[in-house]
Amino acid sequence: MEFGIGLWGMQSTRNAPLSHPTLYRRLAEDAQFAEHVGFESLWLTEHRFWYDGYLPSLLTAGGYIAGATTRLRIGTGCLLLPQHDPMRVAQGVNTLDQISHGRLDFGVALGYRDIEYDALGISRKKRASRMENALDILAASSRGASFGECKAYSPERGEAAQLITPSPVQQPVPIWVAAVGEKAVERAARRGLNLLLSDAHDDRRAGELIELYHRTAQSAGVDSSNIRFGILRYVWVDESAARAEAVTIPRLRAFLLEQLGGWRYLSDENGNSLGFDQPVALRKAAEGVIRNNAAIGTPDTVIRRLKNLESVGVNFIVARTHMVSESPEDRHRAMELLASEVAPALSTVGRA
Amino acid sequence: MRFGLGPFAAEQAGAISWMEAYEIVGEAARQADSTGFDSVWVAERQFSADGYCPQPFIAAANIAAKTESVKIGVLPIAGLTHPLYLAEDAVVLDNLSGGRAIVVPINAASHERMAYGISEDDYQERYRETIEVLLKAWAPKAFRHEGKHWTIPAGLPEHTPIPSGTVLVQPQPAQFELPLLIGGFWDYGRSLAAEMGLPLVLGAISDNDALRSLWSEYDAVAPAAARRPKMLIRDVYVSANDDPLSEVADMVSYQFKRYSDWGMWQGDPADVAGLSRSSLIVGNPEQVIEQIAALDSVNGLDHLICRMHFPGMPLHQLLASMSLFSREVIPEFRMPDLPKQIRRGI
Repeated sequence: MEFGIGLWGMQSTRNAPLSHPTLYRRLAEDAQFAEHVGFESLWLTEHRFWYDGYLPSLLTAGGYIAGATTRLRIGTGCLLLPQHDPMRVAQGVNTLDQISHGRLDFGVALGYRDIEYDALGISRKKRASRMENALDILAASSRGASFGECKAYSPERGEAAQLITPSPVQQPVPIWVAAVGEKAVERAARRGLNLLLSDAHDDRRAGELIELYHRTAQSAGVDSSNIRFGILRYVWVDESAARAEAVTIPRLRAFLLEQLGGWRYLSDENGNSLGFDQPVALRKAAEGVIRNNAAIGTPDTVIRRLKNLESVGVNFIVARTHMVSESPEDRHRAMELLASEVAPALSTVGRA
Repeated sequence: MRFGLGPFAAEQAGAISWMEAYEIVGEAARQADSTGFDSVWVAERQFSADGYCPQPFIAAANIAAKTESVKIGVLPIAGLTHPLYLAEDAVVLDNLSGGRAIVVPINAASHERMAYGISEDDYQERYRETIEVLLKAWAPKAFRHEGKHWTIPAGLPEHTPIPSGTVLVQPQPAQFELPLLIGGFWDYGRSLAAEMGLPLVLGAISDNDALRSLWSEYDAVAPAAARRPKMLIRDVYVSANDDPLSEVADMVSYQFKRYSDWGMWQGDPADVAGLSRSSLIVGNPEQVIEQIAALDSVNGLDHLICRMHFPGMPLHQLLASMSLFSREVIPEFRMPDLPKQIRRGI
């Protein structure tokens, strides 16, 4: 099991307002700290048009982290690929991989807020086909192919002989596909891409989806033995169980209710998305995430909570220790405990 | 006068790999930040075989992490894709640099336009519309935009309606007004800048002899009340050796060959002596001071952006040229009648 730390969305929220230049300065400091204590990667998250200044441009922020660090990998968790121009993204991925000396982990997701699609004049209904199209272009650009060679290339875009330059350092840049539903798991499996499961999945569901990945890969003739199966988890390590309970859980609850309610991110047991207009069901869903999909407490508690993920086939955790409203000192202490007390106890599944 | 370093292109040329090319940008930016330069610049070109930086905001953000004070100027191509991508990249750069961003949208070369399937006429409209959207997107108000090429928000029937019919780009720029200047490398850009009262940057592709009339044409149309720093990009090389031009001749040819290939400049890129008279600032410190003073007296410059890194130039050569420039050239323009003992060192 390996650990990345996340998710930085550069938010100045109602409960924790802060100027954005300060937030970005702290991002550099947090990245340096993450590198110092030994995390493999730091992950950014994308949304647009939300009141708190949520980060809309991950590759730009990635260039900044690359300049502040030397070993830490830079994860996009996730770039909402169908909302972008794939040519521009392919160029950006390769450029950031060069600037960072091959430290990019490129995670992509569909996105689900109508307004984000609407402002960009893109139909949300086309998001799956746009995702497939963009993944084809990324695969070709990673090889240094001209974009006319992409099978997804649409001829109405003009001259096809142009090269996407530069080429990346990593051959290829690792791509992670975020998956909430089964279609996304199958998409990743058919292409042999890494999987990034959601913080809305409990351990059992994560195991089912990883099984689905292996089955789909096998029938598509894809070798899934070296695939990285990642998952997002809310993780906070504290010396004091009482403090974690009294401080961190309410902080996470407030975060979940505000953001996920605002975006209708969580679903009830029938798969219906939940918003502010269903406060009781929303609260119930948020409590489910806190109870089942988070690991908050002393090192022993967190180890116990995360160990089960190993048995269902997860081999990478993006620990969502950054929950927006904590102080940098508290955050660094929790990161340090995670790296020094928890990660070694879960390192039994090694990577070559 | 203020002095900038760049625009950098981070191309793979000579023995320089892409990774090294970006390291050179970072190291030069660090030195610029601590030796009196006011700004560092990065430019965009797409589909260039040498890998000329195609996404300059990523490189600019990298510079921001490595510097404390210099302004960070970006010359992105406008009009190829949706303007909100450009608006968002720029506000993120402005915030992560603590309010140091300057944005100078430039025009696409024909190969870039054609790769996106855009006709020349359409391209001019798309460029103008992009500028209009940027001004709205960086203002602290929710907006809607209805243009020929883009409607923001689009209001597509399959989406949940947006009650206000507007959006507000987040985060807002760190600066109250994110500086927006127009890249004056083409006729349309220069006339648009004058018409909109936006400041203009003239490029290395405009000969010395052409500059005066280009500014005059601008002044004749632009509102007199508009504040407009005059910015100029020049290829600059300083060396204390006997024949500075010979030290960069091949690189200069490469540079102008590229301008020629992109259809942005006509001339003989191999005629380096001719180029040095018409377009370059090259020499020992005293000669460089004379050349800058001559340009200034004709054009009244506010900000000279010095492209001191030519394709394939190794880092040590760049840093040596920058070092001479900062010690022996810049002080001359910081005070009238500067004692020569200060410039030469006592």
